[in-house]
Order: sequence, then C-alpha cells, then structure tokens
Amino acid sequence: MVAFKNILGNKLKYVELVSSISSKSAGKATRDNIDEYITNTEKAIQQLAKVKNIKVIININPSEPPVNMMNSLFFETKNKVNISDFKKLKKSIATINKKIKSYIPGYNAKIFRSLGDNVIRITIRVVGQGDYLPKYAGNLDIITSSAVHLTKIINEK
Amino acid sequence: MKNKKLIISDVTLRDGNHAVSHSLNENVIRKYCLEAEKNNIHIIEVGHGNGLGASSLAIGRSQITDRLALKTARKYLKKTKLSIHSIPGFSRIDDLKMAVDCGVDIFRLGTNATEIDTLYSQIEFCKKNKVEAWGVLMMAHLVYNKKKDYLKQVKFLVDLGIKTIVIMDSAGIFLPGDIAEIFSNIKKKFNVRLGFHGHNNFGCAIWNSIIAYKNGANIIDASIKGFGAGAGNTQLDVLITVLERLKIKTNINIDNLYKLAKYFPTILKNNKIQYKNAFSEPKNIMSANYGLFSGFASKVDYYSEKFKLNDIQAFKSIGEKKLVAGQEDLIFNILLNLKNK
Repeated sequence: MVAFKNILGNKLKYVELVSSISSKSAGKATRDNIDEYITNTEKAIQQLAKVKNIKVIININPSEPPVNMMNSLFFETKNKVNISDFKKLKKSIATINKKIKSYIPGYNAKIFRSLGDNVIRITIRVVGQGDYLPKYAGNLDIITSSAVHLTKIINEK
Repeated sequence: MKNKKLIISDVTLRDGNHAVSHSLNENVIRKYCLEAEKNNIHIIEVGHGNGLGASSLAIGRSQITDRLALKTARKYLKKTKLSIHSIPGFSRIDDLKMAVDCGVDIFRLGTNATEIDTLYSQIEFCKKNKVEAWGVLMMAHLVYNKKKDYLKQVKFLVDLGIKTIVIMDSAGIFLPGDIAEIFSNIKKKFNVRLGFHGHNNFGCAIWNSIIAYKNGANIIDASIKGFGAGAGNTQLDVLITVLERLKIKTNINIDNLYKLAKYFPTILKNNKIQYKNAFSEPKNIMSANYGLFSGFASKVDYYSEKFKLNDIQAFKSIGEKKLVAGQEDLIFNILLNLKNK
C-alpha cells in the first residue's frame, strides 16, 4: 500500500479490496462485525495509500473443501501506469513477498495489469501453516503469525 | 389452504442491472417507475445488481450513485413501495442510513443462504430505526438438502423478529418439486410470510413461482420481459397472464402490462443501454447446473472475450471452483489460468 503511494503518488485515485474467506474460518465475531471490519479497513487503506476513495468488500465462501483465504486489490490511477512505474511496483511486490514469507511461508502476492489500462490488480493468497488452525484459515493465521513476528522484533530490541 | 393477496415485487430495476452491467440511469428509473405505478405494481426494487453499496471494480460500477437511484425512484412512486436489496459485506450500515434518508419502504437484507447469521447487525439496525426488514436467502439451493438446512436459516431470521422471508433461486437451479417441498416445509413450521425469487436458467421460473404461491408464498419477484441476471428472472408479463389463466387475482391490468413490455426495449434504446443477452444461452444452462450465481454471466463473457476463451469452457472452470455470489474478482484469475494452460 505504502509502496503504491510512494511510486504512484497523486496519480492514485481509488483503491478497492475484495476479501474471500472460507465459511469455516469466520466465527461469530467476524460475522457480527462485518461493518466494523469494512469501516476500519477502509480507514486504514485511506491512511496508508493516502487516497480518499476506497471500497472494501468481504465474501464468506461456504464451499467444501474450504477455500484458501484470498484478497484482490485494485489500484485505479488517473492515467495509464507507465512501464517503468509498473516495473518498480513489481519489484516492490517481490520484496514484500520475500519479507512476509520469512514469517508467513504461505503468503503469495501477484501483480497484474487488468481491466483496461488504468487499473493494477494484486492477488494475495494466504495459506496458513496448519499448526493449530487449518491451512485454509490464512486470514486467522496471518494475524497470529504477525503477532509472533512482532513479539520477536520487540524482544530482539 | 387459502392464500392471501398475492404481492408482485418488480426487480427489473435491480436484477435487470446485471443484464446491462449496472448501466441503468435515472431516466430509465423515472420512466419505469411511472409505468409501474400506473400498472399497480406493489413493490419496485431499485439499485445495483448486487444491491446497496455494491458498485465496484470487482462487480461492476453503477452508472449512477445509490442515492440518486433511490431519490429518483422515490420521487415517482406513490402507491408502489420502494425496496432495496442489501448484502452485508457490500453494503454497510452507513448505506442503510442513506437508504432510510431516501425514504426506502422495504429493506430486503440478503446473503448466501449458508451465511444468514451475517445479517444480524443489519437486522438490528432496521429494528432500531423502525423500518421494514425482510430476510432473503440468496443461493437457496446451498441449504436445500436432506438435513433441511433451510429451516435452520429461516429459524434464525424468525427468532430475530423477521416476518417476511424471500427464497431466492439465484442460480436458477430449482425445479418445481424442490419448491413445493421447501415452501410447504417452511409453512408447516413457521408463521412467516414467504416470497419467491426465480431465475429462468432451466425454464422453470414461471412454474416455480406458481408452485411457490400454491405452497404458501405471498410475494413473487418478477421483471418485465424477464430482464435480469443470466438467463433472466421470472417474466412478469408471462407470470400475470398465467396467473389469470389459473384464476389467481392480481390487480395488474394485463393490456397495460403488455404495452409496458413492448415499450421497455425502447426505453433502454433511447438511453443508449445495450442489452446483449436477448437469448438464454447454453452457458446459462451450464451455469445453473453448477449452481453458480446468475450474475456471473456478464463478467464471464467479458473475460472470455478478452482472453479468447470458449464461454462454455469458461463457465465449466468457474463451476469447478464453486464460487459464490460476490467472488466476481476471482473470475479474472480462474480464466487467466485457463488461458495460460
């Protein structure tokens, strides 16, 4: 998000996030607080990407076997993103991928150009480690893994 | 059992938006609302195909804002009630507040039938604001099984005080026998008003609606000429004709309704709105057979064309992934993989 803000700056005009999680990984709290999730996620993206116009959507998928957690991010720009900027974004996604994979091995982000020329799309799939929670619950695993990672950083300091 | 009055709920201006990539504008809304009012249509639903707050890159952007659509409809509806479709995850409480401000009469709160408990906070909002809330079981075939899971979902809604529940055949997969079973079983257990929303993928929308009525439904969703997602909705003009043949009364004048059906394509044409899927296609049959959401059709068409894929093959690969309504974003990924195979 921050990389997009740094590289695209004020060319960025709209960001959209669509999350799909499996029904089994969505507990009562998630279900009762969909509104809070959307509102807070929109606020967070607004702050990180410095864009006013944000849309967040969440889907709960009942398929069996359960689907892996997956996010689609859309970045809409005022003009077509030029090749050099796209390359920079691609590089930045590769760096982030590597960094996050060090503590969430099942994290995988891919970048695409799509939907005409003014939209960049990122697909993020998170497969959990399957230690305690099932592998499809990447949405829960990412929170736990991030917390563990953060604790390690704090302790090292 | 004697049925009470049959209520016709016209979804032309909501489900129809799926058929034209959500491009219905205020002019179409105005013209159609005026006609519907003249035709004694009881309820009109207005909005993006996926309901309130669903305008997005992933699903498709609305031509006009929800607020403008609702304000326009409100202005021209007097006797006819105004309803909206709202799916938590797309719509937020703030969107409901806006709809209350716009004077919406009926809040149809829906979600995939397996996830009905996600309606909780929106139902509570409606209760608090004293607006009429209905519960909608979208993709109802997902809970149609031996264990009769649909009864659990209905119970959840009834326990929260919901008095009207719509069974939505979003995939167009139900056959008349299924409908008879579902409606009679719900009626046996619960004192609740029922509605049915059909899609015509298997050519059963009309008969499913009649069977629903005969088994206790009081509300039937339909759209003019069947204008709607995928293979289209229950065709209003046919429905009213068949109801008359069966001596089931509505106060809709059939001659006027035929005039509207004839005039409707002109309304679209005058507003430069293209309606591509005039025919139900094999892909729509395939889509129902996989139990897919009817609204996927336009997105699958778009990417099949873009990636030069066979549309039937495309539906097949999406069917195998068991996507549910709202996961339009993944159609891109699945079809891109298919192309790169």
